[in-house]
Amino acid sequence: MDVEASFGGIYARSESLVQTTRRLPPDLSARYRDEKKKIIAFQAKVGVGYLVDPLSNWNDIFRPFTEELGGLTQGALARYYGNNTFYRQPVVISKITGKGNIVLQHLDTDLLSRHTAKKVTLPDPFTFADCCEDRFYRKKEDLMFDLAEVLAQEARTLHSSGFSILQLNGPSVAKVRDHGLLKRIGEAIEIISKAFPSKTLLHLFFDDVSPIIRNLLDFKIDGIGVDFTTTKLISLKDSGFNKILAAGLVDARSTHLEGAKQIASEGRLAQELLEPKGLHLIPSADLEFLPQDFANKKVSRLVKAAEMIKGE
Amino acid sequence: MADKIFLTQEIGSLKKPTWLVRTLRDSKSSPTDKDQTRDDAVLLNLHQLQDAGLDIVYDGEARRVEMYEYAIRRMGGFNFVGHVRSWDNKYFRKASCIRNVTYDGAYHLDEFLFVKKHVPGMIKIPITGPYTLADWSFNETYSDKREFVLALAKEVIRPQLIDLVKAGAKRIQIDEPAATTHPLEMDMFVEGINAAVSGIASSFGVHICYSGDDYRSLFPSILEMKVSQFALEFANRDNTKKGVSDDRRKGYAALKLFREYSDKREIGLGVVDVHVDEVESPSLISDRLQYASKILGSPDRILANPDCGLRTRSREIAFAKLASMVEGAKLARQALE
Repeated sequence: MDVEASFGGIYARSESLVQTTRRLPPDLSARYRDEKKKIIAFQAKVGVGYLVDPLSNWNDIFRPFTEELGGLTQGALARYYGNNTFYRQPVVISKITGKGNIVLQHLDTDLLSRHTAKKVTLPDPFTFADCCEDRFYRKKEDLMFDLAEVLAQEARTLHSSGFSILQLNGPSVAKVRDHGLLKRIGEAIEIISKAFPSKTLLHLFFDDVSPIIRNLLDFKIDGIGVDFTTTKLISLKDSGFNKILAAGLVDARSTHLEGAKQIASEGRLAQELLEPKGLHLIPSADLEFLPQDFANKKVSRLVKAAEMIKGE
Repeated sequence: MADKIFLTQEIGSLKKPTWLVRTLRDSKSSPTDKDQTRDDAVLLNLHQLQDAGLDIVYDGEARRVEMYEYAIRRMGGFNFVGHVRSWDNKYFRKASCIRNVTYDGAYHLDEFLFVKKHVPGMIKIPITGPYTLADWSFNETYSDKREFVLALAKEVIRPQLIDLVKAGAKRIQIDEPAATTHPLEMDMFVEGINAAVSGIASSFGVHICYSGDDYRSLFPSILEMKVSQFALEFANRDNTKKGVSDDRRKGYAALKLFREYSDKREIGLGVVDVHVDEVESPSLISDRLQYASKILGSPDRILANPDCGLRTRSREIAFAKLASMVEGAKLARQALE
């Protein structure tokens, strides 16, 4: 079984970058690039399964789209779920249009080794629609499907650029309990996964997904990421888990450092109980909610835990 | 409560004067220089707030770094672990609770006594509440968040309140901007406030702002809260059209919740938006106060205040807004006489 450790989304900024961004020097983009180099070097050193661009230059997971996608403009600050972290709310003012070339411009793909597998993260279309202020579409689902089309264009470009795993961040999906809506979310996500011939994972966090796990397993994607700080592993037993499990076994919102042995033990239990097609050890959510020292330690421990499981 | 209706008050913070910031950052400044400069900034704020005509004042929180870090630094049990992002390139220094929290002395007492010495009129001291302190920290000590909130309430905030009341504090505002972040934790929030204030003889208010659900999640839990005032943000969600109809004052719709639940406590009405530079006209502020009076039925329990602390605005804009607020309250009084 494929066992790897990795992370996705926006990574914690270093104290040095925090101070730099407060001053907004003229060479800020070069400083972002320096930060990315360091974090990518760290990933290579500890041996993550999939290298990622840490998105150090992204102010929130929607921002490149909010700034550049046709039909969107920037709105007020809005709370990012229950966190003391805010995002600039995308405001929908006309039909969503895009050319599939936004994300790549905000990545530094040349810093990622050509010899290592690479992962990239996008918001899932339902979460994206849910986080918008919609002044144009009458139904959120219509907005979701149009967002899915432009995200699919992005996914196609990213696949052509060498990314082998696409992680869709879906905290809003984790909250849905309406089976009909979940079916349509699955259809929207399929538009994206079809455009990305390699593996697509849907990472669900900040809520318990056990009540909807069977719906999620019907989605046409390769893997599901579960935040095990909010979902009990045992509650997924007997779900007929038929995909890769991206197991969120370290808490992305706590400075408590989980031990590698403990993570490995929980990973093994997940293998036994769910028999997934693959096991990816990941943080429960993006690591932007922690100071970077803690994020680094958590990633190192995930890698060590994956090695323990693989070594058996 | 005073005889006058629509008393005016500040919520808390003001932008620090540049000369204060310069002195505090200057490595050549001695501790005495810094203390003296802080005193000067406080005196300036007190004079300007009183000159603007506010009925209830404090010091613009000139001595505090900000509401979270200042408090956490002065209690036991926490270790600052680094910066995390609030938004874009704004961050806050976040702490982990690594052992049981302890009260290591009254961290607001000296500033309160200084204000009391220099202000003949009414003063109100703002302090950060237990729920917000817990919500904005990492917890590595307590088994769950409720235990964490209650420990802060009982072991730190309560003794702080007792010390302030002993020193003469008659109006204390507990700032809880995180209150509505997690609607399912409303009982925990109320329990924390009650554990901090129960049995202490003073007038307590709670300041809450930027609720994502228009304050609906506060009810019915806050009916059990042992405070006498809610100072709330409203102007940010309102428009600037004149009038006192429901249609014109949509940003104040949440007031109807207080009427529906027959909650008769004071409302500190946010009539000034702290996130825009445009200075609200006195007539708009008057309309907002009159609308609140129409909904709540009794102007004597309505106070006028900004939505939140004005530290995000320049001092010039902040004091222009406060002066307009005072004038607006005067217009509203005249209209109801």
